[in-house]
Amino acid sequence: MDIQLKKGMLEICVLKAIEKEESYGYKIIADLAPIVSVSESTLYPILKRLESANALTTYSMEFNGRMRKYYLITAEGKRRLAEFLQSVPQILQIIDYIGGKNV
Amino acid sequence: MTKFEWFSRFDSACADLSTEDRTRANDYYRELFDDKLEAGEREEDILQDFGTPESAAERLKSETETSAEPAAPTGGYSPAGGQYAPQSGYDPYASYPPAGGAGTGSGMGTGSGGQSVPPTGRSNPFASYTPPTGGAGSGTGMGSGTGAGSPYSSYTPAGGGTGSGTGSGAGTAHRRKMPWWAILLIVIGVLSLIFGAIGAIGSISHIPHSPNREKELSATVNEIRIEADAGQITVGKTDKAFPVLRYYESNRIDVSVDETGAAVHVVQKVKSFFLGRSGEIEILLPNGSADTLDVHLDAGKISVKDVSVREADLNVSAGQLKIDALDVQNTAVLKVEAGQITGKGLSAQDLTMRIDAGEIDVQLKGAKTDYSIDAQVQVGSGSLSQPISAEKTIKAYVDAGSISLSFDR
Repeated sequence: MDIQLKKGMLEICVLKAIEKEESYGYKIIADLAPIVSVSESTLYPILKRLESANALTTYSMEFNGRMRKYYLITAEGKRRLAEFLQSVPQILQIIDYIGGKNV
Repeated sequence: MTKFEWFSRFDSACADLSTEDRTRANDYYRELFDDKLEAGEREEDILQDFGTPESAAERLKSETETSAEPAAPTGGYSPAGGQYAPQSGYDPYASYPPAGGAGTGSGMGTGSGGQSVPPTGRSNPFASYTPPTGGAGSGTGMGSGTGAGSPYSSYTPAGGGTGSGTGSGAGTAHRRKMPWWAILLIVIGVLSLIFGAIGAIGSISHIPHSPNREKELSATVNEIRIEADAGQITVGKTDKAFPVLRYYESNRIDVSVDETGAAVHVVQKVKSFFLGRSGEIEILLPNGSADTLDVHLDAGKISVKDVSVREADLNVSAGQLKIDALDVQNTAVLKVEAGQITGKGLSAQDLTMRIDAGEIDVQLKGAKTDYSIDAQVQVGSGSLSQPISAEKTIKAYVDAGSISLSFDR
């Protein structure tokens, strides 16, 4: 997949993965695994980008004697997610067009 | 590649990033590593998934450069409208002004310490305090009340409710957070001191009862396992050809000895902790050697002298672990929750020492360059990293307290 396109899609996937409740690195990767494989080194920049864009926020909490960082969606993140969903019909149209279907 | 190698290579590959970026990335990979390990994945596979440390670092750098997208809001947010302020605490890493960042600490000297107080109130109770890089952040001492650390035991090894503490209060510029559990540990430390003091006021004799039973074990016994509630456990050497076990038993203290094949399993149970019930257990090994040594003690002291084993696992919940010449051919795990690990003449192929609250002060056999070292103190002093490729490894972790490692050559 085109790298820019994939990046954008993955960002949305990550937001979706933390939409219901906060999550952490390992769980995000595991939750997304059936949909799309995200490697550890792919996830990190995505989380970082989303954080600096204020689409998510983080906190650390102890787990099993060590610290674990949790990622929490923000209003901005939810807005992005909704915005994406709104554009889905259009995206599907584009896909159909590329796939050669009659629109 | 080992975990240690991966992370030290990763760290050097990230050398040109800011300390903050480096620490964050490092924490991220460490957390994933631990999570994957706990999920049952093998170390090699995990590191394989991570890719080479250099490529992971490269990725990070290229993304960091392109991710310089402004944090400014998009769309309908108007900064002037005051609806949205980027510094409103969204970013837990960036919101502390360096000048205000100094934690205030008050060491109590008797083993409890002050805590770093975040300079400003925050709305998120989970968010942890990050001292500013290079900032003052002083005074995060932590008490460790040796022997007095167990609220359910009135046992103190030396008979005085001294509760020797390590009030090491160096906030350091170590960019670790002051998490809520560290504060909890401090509270526990103080509480345990109080309990210790109550015990002392009661002027109860805390010296564990000397052994009143002796047992000769079969000469083939070389897997030693001891679990005890309270008292003192000594592991040493005998000239005899068979191991000798001595222990104290009474109507208040049950000891069971289960010998099967090469293994012996000793379990001490104290029926009532009232009035400082505790007994000594002593095991003396032929030539001081055995295959495995596995000792778990709730409260008290484990002493090991002139012993050589293949693997050792020594664990004290509250109290002290004292080593006087212990040679471990493979893996040694020394763990104390609250208290101390001290001693000299320790050597192991792969040594892990861990303390929640307290101090590690150990002299190792050999020269410093024989070991690749990863020593980390979350709150306190003594962090050290020597990621050389050496034959032996030392990992020492203290949540609150101090680490001091020395070498006899």
